[in-house]
Amino acid sequence: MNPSRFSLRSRIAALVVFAAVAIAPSAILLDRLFGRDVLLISPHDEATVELNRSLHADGDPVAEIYGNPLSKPVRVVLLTERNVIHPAEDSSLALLPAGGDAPRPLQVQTVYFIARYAILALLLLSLVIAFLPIPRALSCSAGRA
Amino acid sequence: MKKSAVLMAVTLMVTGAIGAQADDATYHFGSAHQRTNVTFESQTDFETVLGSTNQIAGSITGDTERGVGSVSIEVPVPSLDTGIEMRNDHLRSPMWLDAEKYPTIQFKSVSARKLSGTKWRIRGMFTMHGVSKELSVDADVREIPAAAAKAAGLEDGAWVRVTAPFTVRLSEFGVKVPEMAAAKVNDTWTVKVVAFANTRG
Repeated sequence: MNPSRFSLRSRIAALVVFAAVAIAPSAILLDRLFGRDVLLISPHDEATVELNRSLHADGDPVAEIYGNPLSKPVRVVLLTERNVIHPAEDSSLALLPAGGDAPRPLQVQTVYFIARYAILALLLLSLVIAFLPIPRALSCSAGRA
Repeated sequence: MKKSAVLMAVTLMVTGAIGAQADDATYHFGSAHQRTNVTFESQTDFETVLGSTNQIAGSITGDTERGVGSVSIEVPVPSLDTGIEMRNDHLRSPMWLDAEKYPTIQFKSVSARKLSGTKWRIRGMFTMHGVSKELSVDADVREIPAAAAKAAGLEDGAWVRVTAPFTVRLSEFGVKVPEMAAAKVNDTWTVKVVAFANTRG
């Protein structure tokens, strides 16, 4: 293998490995800095919310006035605060409408899921770059170009 | 004389029973789609999916005094929305719920009895993907006062709101989570039905 070509391939492979390694802390940073726990709800329309409010009794789940909630909160990132509902009945709740006309939020578990596969893909790519033999004809034409 | 007395007693009993049946009120689902919210929650590795539909048909009959009733509900499979069109297509495909072959999900009660206040326990057959299984659901059936119904712009007639949460295991209904997605999709769905029904249909 030509030393200069070897060096170039090594550098590119190293760069790809660096990118792969950088993904994990980036995902963690995104989670820590911009992540927030919210209870996703499939929202009711406004008239139904008013109707549910009038039917609400002590002990009924507050979230259900506003929509059908998930069974537990999920962590989402890049959330627009104005989309979050803090019910007057329990302001400690953070409800986020999702589905219907409401935008689907990016969940932290999606970020980690994509990050996991991106790391794997980049590491494989780096191996390919570093060790896959390039046909002589291809490398010559690349050299002429 | 004795025979006619027995006949009269039987007639009175039958009339009484018919009278009690006549107290049952039947409420129909489907006239307030915008207020219907049927959701299903699915845990996956990729994200927690909150799918929904506002399409529902069927009816609920009950006598709150006697604490007995019956319910029948039907949801069209093609209306299930997970928020991603490609995922909806997968859900409706033969690999999952096979909407073409089994276009509806149904629940038909076998018995319904009032537990207390607005709480009812409803047992019945839940049919999905062509498979029927017995299911027990604790539902909240709340009568809507006429003034509240009017204020909310609901049509004439008496209204009830039915809230029914339950879980279903897809594998019990012959829905096999595809091998490729086995690590990504949980076998259990948490379903919640919130629907309004009225006497006018």
